[in-house]
Amino acid sequence: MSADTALCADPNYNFAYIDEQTKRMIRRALLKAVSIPGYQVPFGSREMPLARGWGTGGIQVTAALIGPLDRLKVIDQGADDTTNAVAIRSFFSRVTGVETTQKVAEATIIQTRHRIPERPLTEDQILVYQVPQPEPLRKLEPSEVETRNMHAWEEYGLMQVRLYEDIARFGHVATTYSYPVMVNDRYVASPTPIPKFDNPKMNMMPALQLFGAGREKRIYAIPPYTKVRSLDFDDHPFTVQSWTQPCTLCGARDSYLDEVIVDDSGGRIFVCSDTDHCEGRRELGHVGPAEDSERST
Amino acid sequence: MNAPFQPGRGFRDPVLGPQVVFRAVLQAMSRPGRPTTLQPQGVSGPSVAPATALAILLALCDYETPVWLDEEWRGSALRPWLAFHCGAPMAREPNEAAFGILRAASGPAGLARFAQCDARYPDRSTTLLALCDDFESGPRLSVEGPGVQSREMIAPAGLPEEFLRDATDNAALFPRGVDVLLVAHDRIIGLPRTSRLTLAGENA
Amino acid sequence: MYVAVKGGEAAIRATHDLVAQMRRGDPCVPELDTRQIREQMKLAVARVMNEGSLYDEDLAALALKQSQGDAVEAAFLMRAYRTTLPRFGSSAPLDTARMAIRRRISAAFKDLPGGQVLGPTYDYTHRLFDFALEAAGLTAAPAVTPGGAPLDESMPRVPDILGSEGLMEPERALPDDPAPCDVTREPAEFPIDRDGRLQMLARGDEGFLLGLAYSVQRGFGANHPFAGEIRMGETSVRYRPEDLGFEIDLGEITVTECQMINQFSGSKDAPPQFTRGYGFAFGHSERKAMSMAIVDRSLKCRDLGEAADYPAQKEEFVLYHCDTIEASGFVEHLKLPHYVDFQGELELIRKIRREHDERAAEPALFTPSEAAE
Repeated sequence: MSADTALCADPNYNFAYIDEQTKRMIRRALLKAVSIPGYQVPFGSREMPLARGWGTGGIQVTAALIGPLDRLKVIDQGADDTTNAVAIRSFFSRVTGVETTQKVAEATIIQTRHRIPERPLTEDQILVYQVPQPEPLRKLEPSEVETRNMHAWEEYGLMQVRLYEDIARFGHVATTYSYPVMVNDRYVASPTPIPKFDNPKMNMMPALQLFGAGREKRIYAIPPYTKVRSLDFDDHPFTVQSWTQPCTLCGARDSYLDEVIVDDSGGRIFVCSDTDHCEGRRELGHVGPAEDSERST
Repeated sequence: MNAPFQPGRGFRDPVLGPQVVFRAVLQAMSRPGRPTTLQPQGVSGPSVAPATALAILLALCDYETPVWLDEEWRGSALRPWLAFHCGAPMAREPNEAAFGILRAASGPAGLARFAQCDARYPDRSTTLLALCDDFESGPRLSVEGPGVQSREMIAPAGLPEEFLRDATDNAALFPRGVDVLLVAHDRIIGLPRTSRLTLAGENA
Repeated sequence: MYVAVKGGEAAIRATHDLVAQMRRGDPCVPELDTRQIREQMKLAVARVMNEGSLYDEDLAALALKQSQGDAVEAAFLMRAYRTTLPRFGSSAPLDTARMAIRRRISAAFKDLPGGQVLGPTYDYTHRLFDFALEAAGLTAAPAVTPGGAPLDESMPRVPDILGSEGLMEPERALPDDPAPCDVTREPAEFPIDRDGRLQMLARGDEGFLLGLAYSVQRGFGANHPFAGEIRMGETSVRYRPEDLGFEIDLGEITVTECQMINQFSGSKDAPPQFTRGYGFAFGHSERKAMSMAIVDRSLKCRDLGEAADYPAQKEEFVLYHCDTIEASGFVEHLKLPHYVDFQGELELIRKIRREHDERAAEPALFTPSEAAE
């Protein structure tokens, strides 16, 4: 550890855990990913002290990015205190000593699993997604040799057929998360299992979006201000989920809500999945219908 | 060229120095056309090349990345410096290079000489550092494409001949193609293959 | 009112203490020493080194202790540690023809140069409990009386013997003998060459490869394998540092090598001959080496122009799914919260059912199950 970093990182490991040669390899992959938006760059994914499938791709991307001036936020399901988010945040605290935060506005790097924060991200932020399956065509075509050719020659007919079959059967596309997107009018990409509610946020986002799939050994990227379109049809345009009731805690009507079972007879309430968004709103005095009624009685 | 080898210096901090450089390069490549300031983090080497360009090579290259230099520079002090600091092999041919340095003195840009790869693995193409005099006094170019909100205006001076034409041909190859990073003193501008350049007129 | 659950960090810290407590078990029982594991659980240590992709008996013993004997968890510890180690290069090829043999058998020949060396094996034991082992501290290893003549200096590998007759598919080094690929540095690219395949199989899960090998034998495969040879013993690892210019001896490791012999009916280009499958594992790991050899041969189908009809012949299927760490990580990641996605599914299924009910309500037709909802 060098002397001019006043960080209390675990001295038994290199800063950010992985060695410098590995960081260079990941950094080169990231630069190519940015240059070919939506294309999955193979990279020599390393084994990390967290399990495959538990965010090792996102962790390696963050490890290649992070420096002493960063402030890191880690969310899983939109929340900072879910088990995976806690484990990854404490890992980076230990191996970098970098400051962490739970506030979207304060973060320079946000590592996420399954959500994009509700608060619009800025040009000064990087969003790092943990990706379980980077290949949007994998469920249609299990062979990597084949899917690589399909991307190379822009043969996405199979995906269109699959979506259209849903419409024929259910009346709409029966995909609620990992809803495939077209990046920069060229590559079909997986937005990772974020709910399709979040897909529109990817389009022309001011922040850089980086995607790390550790087990599958792929990195891809969406540069800032890049066109991202959710696949749809003229007669069946893409739509997002909506709820008939607001967040029970903060009254938000425009955020993604989690359903919480409150008793054993089917009673349930809905609360914001993005905990920072919900807390921020409550700090500003917003209240939900539950508290509203409690106050008025 | 038998002058004694001048090792110069590597990164002041071998871990955090490359991190700073990488973040600046990432910033530049994600926001094409927008200049990013990049201090070389203590790196110094043969004076022929700007320290910022050397710092970028040192941050990204190693024994896995063949580097291409033009014939004159292959015989210069740059070659032993690169071998000493990053162990990078010299690319024998431009299309074997992971990285390369372009400069006006070595003739036309010739972007098509470098590795473009096939559409199955378009990531295996060359990344080129193109040395410029400055970003203000050259022909005015507008930059559009992913990473650019509407358009950026740049005026790089001292680019290799035919760079603009080559860059246009290169963009048409997408998803194949090389990626370029312009370097002038301690500033860099990213021009990945997605960037569309158009001539906006001579500088006043 | 509802209060969102907080305190994830404290709960997670508590799990660390609880697992430490469970690992130790009853404190009245003496704690395991990692040296005991290294010396007395050698086969478990070998499996952890194989799937952990790192030859270090002491670390593997520690990994087994730390993981309460869970081989998969122990291999995971090895892999995570392996990431932090610098890579110096590739060793010189091991010369297993010259290894110090402790066991060497061939099922293809009754006798052969060098002879059959049975060595330490459970193969010829009756699987009956030895209750004497239960009484701690009482069992000394029996003294082994050296049997007959010392082993032959020369222990040629069986496929090489067949090769001299031209009956065996030759193994040829590639032109220029390039350094083997390393799938831990560069991700595997398909179709994959044999060096990458063998590396992935060597790191692969023993149970998965065993099942695949078994499927080949039972009919989900085209070849009947013969155990041409299995050998186990010690061999030295040599490495030539670039700056030194000559080979140095890094030390001795225990390895198991298996070569399976299979029929090949020939093709329009090649006369009928035997083909081979190659298996190699750290430590004494015969089951692993044999399974690997059968699967390696099965995956040669592309090169030999055989139809790839069965699971064990499909290289993407076999190689993408044989890794212990990747498979266990991804299956077990289902324990992580997925409630955001599940919410999307809930919303969708309610919507589809609502639409279905609306359609069904027209002729007022309810099935009992819908009516009971």
